[in-house]
Amino acid sequence: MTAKPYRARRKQARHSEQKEYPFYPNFFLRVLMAALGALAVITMLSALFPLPLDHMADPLAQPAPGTRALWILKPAILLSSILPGRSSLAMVLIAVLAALFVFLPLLDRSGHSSIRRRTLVAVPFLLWMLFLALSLMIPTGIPG
Amino acid sequence: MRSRERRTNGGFLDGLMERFGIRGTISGPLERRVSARGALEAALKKPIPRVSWWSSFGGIALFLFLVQAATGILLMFYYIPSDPEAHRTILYITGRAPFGWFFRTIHHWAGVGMVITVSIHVLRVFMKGAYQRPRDLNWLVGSVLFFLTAGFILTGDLLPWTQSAYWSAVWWTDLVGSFPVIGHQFQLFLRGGENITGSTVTRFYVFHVFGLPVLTTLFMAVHFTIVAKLGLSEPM
Repeated sequence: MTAKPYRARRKQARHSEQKEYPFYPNFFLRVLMAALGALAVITMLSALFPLPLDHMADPLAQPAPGTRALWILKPAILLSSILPGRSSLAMVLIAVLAALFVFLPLLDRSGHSSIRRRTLVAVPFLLWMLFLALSLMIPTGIPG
Repeated sequence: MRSRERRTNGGFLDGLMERFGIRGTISGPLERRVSARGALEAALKKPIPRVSWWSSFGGIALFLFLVQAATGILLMFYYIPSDPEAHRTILYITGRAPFGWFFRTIHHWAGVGMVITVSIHVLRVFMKGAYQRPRDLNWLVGSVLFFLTAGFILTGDLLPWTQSAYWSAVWWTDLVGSFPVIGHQFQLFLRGGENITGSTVTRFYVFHVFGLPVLTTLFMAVHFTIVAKLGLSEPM
């Protein structure tokens, strides 16, 4: 087995150096910096906007009109409002969407990494993500 | 001369660190018994593809989970999960406990941040097609982690025992109860009875501080083991 010429070895070394780096410290410190940045944002938000506290729950009293729903429930509330009075159907629809999300690898076995070659899966998925993002921005009350 | 002094001082400090520091402890008594240093260094120095900042969101989510755990433990010192103590203790935390309002707000915003960072992480994995073989199992584990994160928000919201949280819990547990065949049984399990009462708060508290964290830790361990085995997906 003959050794590679010096130039070829140097080129290969430079190429691999550009493509890879060790997990520690390079990637670890990058994630730590990003995480500390996130913590700084959260600390600032917490100092500027202390969390308010609603009055104590009274199961006998009806919710005041305009009582805001928990933000994470907004997509489910919007989905169930499409099927008024059919909560079973709405729940089944939510469960089917959740199952499609979990079993996505079974739906797409194309093996393509390019998004342009996965349009059949990509378009519904991205529309779904857009719906989730937009639904969180709409002020939604608890359905009566 | 100066450089020689520095070298001497550096050597002395290095010696102290070797003898008394964490590195010394690991490389000393622990290393003599379990010989873990080589394996640990190999794992830490493992080469990974040069990836973008977008790849940091999974790690940020883990960090926020740890922030949640730390602030959650601080809140547990004062909180009592029953009716009406739940609301009274949250009032105490917010108004009188030292920095209670601050840690409670950080706990809340870290939860919101965790949902956002996990969502961005999911979106990035999807865009790269990294849910396909051989990483399909990791997508499955990751999607369970996504729902567990949502579970933290749903169970944590009721704990202050406020009017809006009460009606939110009534709405979503009613929705769960409407699922055919098993819905009502699952609703009873969640509520601890037909209605939402103080015992539901106790139940949600157990889910929030024990059930969900244990499951999340287990699934995270599997998730990171698979990532360590297969490596990070190549950049786009």
